[in-house]
Amino acid sequence: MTLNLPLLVVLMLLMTGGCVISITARSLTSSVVSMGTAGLILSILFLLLGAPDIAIVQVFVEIVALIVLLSTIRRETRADMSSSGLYGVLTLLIFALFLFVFMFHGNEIVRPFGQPVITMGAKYLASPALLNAPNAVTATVLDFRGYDTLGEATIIFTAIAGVIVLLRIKGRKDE
Amino acid sequence: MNNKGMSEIVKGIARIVFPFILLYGLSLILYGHITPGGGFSGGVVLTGGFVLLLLAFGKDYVFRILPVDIAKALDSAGALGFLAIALLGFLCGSFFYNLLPKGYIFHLWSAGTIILSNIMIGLKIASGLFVAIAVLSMARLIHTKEGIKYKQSRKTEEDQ
Repeated sequence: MTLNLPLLVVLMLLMTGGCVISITARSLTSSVVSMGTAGLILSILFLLLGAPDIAIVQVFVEIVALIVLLSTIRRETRADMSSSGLYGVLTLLIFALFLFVFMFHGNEIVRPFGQPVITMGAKYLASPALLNAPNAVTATVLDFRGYDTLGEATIIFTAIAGVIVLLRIKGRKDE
Repeated sequence: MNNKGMSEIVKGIARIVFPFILLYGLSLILYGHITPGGGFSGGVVLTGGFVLLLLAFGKDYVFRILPVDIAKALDSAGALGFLAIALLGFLCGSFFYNLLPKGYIFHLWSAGTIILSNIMIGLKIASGLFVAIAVLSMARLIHTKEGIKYKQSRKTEEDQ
């Protein structure tokens, strides 16, 4: 698989820019929108680096996070998010254009059935013989893809730290 | 102590069932590399046992068995232990390298570092989820005229 290095660098710079804007932006809405841009570019990067499954997950997580954050901002701060109908129609038309292009030329982009991009599955399935672990799923999750599992453990750790911080007693100002 | 929590029938059943739930969770964790299961599912089962006690007996009883501060420490210890197992692989060259002897198939001590990782993840998930549920159970939303206020109580006496 050949990598287009300049494209990757440009995408990474755009993603970093989106992250910086989302931290420094004055308005909450623009910060959330630039965070969504960074996530979208991240999913494109995953796709280019040969991890389509993670790219799909990233797109879904990003969309759900964007919807939740935007609706929260709208509820809490009553920010003006009304847009003129022209923008909506334009966005819909652009999206429909992309969809039609993909539908008519998709079979040239996507690999034919039975010839996947990633061919690691056979090596994972050989794990019982390599590791003496009959449960191939655990062997894959904790040995071959241990880095992913470390990421999942970090996600849970962060979520629990978030719960503790949000529901704390000490240091609250409003009581 | 007697009038807290649910009725006596629920308490009796919970007292009998709790050790078996712990046993099932531990077996899911320890035999994760042989049978279906593993650190994540076993940890959730362990948390389920403690949540059963929390519902049946009330907060005070559970926090005497497993205080929240100790559970927080165990959560961090599990995460750091998993990271330590991952870093241990650098002794033989790479991150997450399986450097322990592989043993024989279907034996408990086989498959190298997988069983240690399972134990660490089980510890982390069990104590972490317990902390989350305990903190949520201490939270109270009080509806006042100005709006909804948040309050947290460590003791049951303050609830009334």
